[in-house]
Amino acid sequence: MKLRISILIPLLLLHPALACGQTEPDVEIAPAVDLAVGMTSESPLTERAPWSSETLDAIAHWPLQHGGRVKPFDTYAGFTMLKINGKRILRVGDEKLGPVAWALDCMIYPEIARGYECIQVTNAQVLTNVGIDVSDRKRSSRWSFEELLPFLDQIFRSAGQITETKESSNWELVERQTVQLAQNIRSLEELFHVFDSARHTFPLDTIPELRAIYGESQGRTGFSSIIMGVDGLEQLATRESILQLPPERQTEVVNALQELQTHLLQQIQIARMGIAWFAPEPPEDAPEEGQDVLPVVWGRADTIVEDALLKKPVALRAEALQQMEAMVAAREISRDAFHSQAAMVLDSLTALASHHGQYSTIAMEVSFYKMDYFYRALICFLLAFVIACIGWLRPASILPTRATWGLNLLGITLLVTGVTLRCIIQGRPPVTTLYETILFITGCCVISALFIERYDRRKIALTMAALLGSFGCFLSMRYELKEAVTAGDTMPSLVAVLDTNFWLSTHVTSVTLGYSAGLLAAAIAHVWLIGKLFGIRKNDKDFYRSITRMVYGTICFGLFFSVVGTILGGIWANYSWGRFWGWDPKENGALLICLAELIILHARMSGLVREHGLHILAVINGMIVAFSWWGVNLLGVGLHSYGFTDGILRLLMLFFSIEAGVVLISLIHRGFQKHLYRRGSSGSAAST
Amino acid sequence: MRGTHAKQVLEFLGSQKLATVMMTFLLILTFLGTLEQAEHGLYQVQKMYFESWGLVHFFDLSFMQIPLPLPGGLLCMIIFTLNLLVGGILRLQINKRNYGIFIIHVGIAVMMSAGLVKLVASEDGFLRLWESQVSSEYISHHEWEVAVFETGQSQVEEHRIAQDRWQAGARVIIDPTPGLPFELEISGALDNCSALPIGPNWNPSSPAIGGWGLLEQPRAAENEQNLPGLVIEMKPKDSSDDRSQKALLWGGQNYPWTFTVADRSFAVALRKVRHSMPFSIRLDNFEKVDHPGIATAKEYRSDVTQRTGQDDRRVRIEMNDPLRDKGLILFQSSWGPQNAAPGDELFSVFSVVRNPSDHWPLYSCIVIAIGMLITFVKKFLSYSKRQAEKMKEVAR
Repeated sequence: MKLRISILIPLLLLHPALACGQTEPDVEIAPAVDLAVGMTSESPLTERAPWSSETLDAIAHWPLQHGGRVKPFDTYAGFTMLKINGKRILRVGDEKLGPVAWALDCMIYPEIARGYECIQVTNAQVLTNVGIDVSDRKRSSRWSFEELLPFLDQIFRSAGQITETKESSNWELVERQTVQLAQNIRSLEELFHVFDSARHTFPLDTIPELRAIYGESQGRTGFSSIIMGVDGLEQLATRESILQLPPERQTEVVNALQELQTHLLQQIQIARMGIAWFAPEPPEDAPEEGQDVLPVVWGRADTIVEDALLKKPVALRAEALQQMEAMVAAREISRDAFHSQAAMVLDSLTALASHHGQYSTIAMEVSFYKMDYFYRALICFLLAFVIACIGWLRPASILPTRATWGLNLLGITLLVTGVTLRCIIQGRPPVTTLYETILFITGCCVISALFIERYDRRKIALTMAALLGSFGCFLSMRYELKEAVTAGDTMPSLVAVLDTNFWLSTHVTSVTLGYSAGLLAAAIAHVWLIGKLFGIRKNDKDFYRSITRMVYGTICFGLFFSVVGTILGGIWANYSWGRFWGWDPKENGALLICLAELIILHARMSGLVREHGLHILAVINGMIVAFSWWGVNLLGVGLHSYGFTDGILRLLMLFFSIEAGVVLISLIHRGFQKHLYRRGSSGSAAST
Repeated sequence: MRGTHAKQVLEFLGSQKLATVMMTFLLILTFLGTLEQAEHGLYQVQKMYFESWGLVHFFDLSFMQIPLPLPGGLLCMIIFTLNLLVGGILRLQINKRNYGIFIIHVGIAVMMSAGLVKLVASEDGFLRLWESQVSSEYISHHEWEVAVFETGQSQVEEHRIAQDRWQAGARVIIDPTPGLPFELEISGALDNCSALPIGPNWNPSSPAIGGWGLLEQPRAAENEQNLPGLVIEMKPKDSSDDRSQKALLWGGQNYPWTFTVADRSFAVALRKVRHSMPFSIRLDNFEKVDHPGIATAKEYRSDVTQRTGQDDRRVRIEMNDPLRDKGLILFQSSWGPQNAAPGDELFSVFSVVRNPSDHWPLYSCIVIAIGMLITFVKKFLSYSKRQAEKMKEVAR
């Protein structure tokens, strides 16, 4: 029996997760590790030289596996920063740090990054509950890790109590925010400790036998130094080798190996919370035809050590790890040395990922987030709306109309490009999550409005396109923040039943097209109702008839997609679960839209409602769309609970209140007008 | 005169106004029923709002409850379907302007028929199998039965007493079944209850038997969680030696009640209804694959052997790809145990459905889509033509 097995393997077996494959750590509400570990700098640095754009660009492209998919480091850093900081930018002194620079600081200069005020706490009560004085801080100000350090125990204890004693669905707002804060601190800690093993000095020169394997050089750091001499270590650690030593040496060697084991165990434990940078070694044999292909599981630094100890192939990964550790060491040398190591790491990680065909969309994803398509689209739509409003004030001028058209087209091009890139990156249709419905519905609303404007040319639909585009893009940015908090990504891995491109591209797309038409019709109906309310273009009957035609046509368009989409959903459910209709809240929501739109058309055709009634019903239909889109998710029942809608309730109630107000005021105004008309008629009849 | 009345009735029955009113009721019912699901669960709401003739909905204000009587979903759908058939199909004078609308109405009628056939003629349940396990019957989701069978026989013949004969707490004497030397008296049936030992602080309202009683519980929101219970008494038909015996049967118990009468042993169980399949299924292999690094299932699939008489057929059942044969459809629906550790053996759960109108919704969808396309494209073309003419006039 080899000592390697008796000492080092049990070391691994102490940790069942190693034997059972990797899983990302669940949200545990406890401090990650002793913060003193890994902070090796004797005299802590207070500042560092700025990163070059080339270095940041190289590291942004590092691939990693997180949340069930392969993504660039840029995405990981962006969402981690968004979750902790609430935005993707941090001002430190005169420097503005983007996500990669901030994350790099956390990983390479944790002693400096601990002082960055990057932890957002939206509710001061969370802090006062754990005894932090917030009197001299603004509500919007961020906190540094250093500031919260003395209170970490209380924060984690409070969060732990909340998670242990209550179901998450019953948490109060302040409790949710306390748990959130603990999770954010935990995420930040994980970044601080990513390269701990690279900074850690392993005791490889304590005895002559180890020096014979690893050489005389002092202070060998990182896992790669251990991997390099793993064969010699194996030889030394056999029972036979130990027994061959003189008796007085045996104890010393065993003690030295046990000390090494302790260090290794500690660093493996820390590394296990790190980032899965390393794709497995290339497969030796291609899978046979018809054989089920299992997902490729990437590993962290600890898995390379473990595989090396278990004699599995690690050559390519060990090389990448060694380069990574050299990069960490290069922070003390120069920025050029750091950059060249970072570039080498990129090459190695890329090569590993490419062996499994998992690097093809990394560059595209980096450029997708760099371009920030939806923010730029928002700017275009906002400008378009402002110019459209100017156009209404100067109806004779053609320039504002053309500018509004141009900006709207630019905005929709950016939006469509962004959505298309997301489809290519994810390899699936445009709508799979609640976040993506916002983008898709916004795009459809804008395109439909521009299409209507193409025929109507009264600038009503053109203005609506700009307004809805702005609102949709703004909403998507707000919701992205929620996705960052809950999923850490807006491109999450899908549950098994949703993993079907056919139904996603038919049913989901149709239903969301129906949503967008319903919302667009409601938005245009507001113009009619408000116009009548304030007596705008009182005598221009053609203007109001034109709006009515737009609303009617849009509802017909929406009805087609709502009905087809809803039935397709039923067919999908029938083919997946064996039932066409289950009265699930989301199904009911879709049915409500179909019914509401059918009611509008039948009521109009049968003469039950005229123009005013049509617009009132269109606004109510808009409320029903909002209920179906967001409201049913708040009920917390059914099979479609895929969207995180916590905090949406207030916004939704505000929307419903405003819309109910519009309907009510319009009805009262209409009643009052009728009353005046009747009085006028009877008065004139009497005088005659 | 009579003809005029009939015409008026038909006109009313086929009117767009009636369609509008019925759809408005359906909309209100769907909305209220959806909200109610948060509190009462899907099953109860479905029965009360969507499959009923009428109901009273209560708006719960903090200081009072306001009742609102409504027609039930079933009634509304029947009237709506009649309206659709009369107004949208039979009485519609088809011409080149409205044949699209006619097609739409035919499509909706097909869909409503699919729903009716499903309601009347479908069965559904589940089948749970561990690897290497074989079964030729599936278990109902909601229906319960009392099953009686003689033990120790090579051929087990079961006598089943369906739920509708004993539920609602009435005292029922089950008619002597041919071949059985006893009759059964069922009483005190409860829809949802717990079986508990009688203690100093608790005495059941139903009879206590062997130190145990049934404690009635409020109905759970999810119907699958309701566990019924009842008191059952075995009365020998013709025996001077055997005496009557009583027992409690509870849906949560994993073993039947056994007794001996006329030197024969019998077992009685309260269980979910079992349906036979015309073939048996053996689970050869079940695999659950997670997304890498997280605990979300990417896919789960079952390799099964379908045995029909002499023939064996190996089939893979996975998400969105069921097994369809002999009028039955087996869907991969779940797996368990949910708390299994990595490496533990898992069982596979299939939904089993018998639905004669399985593909009808697809046909209706195609028909409705064609009808809508014809109608709306024609409307749009005439609108765009008018707009183009108007633009020309403005340009002049």
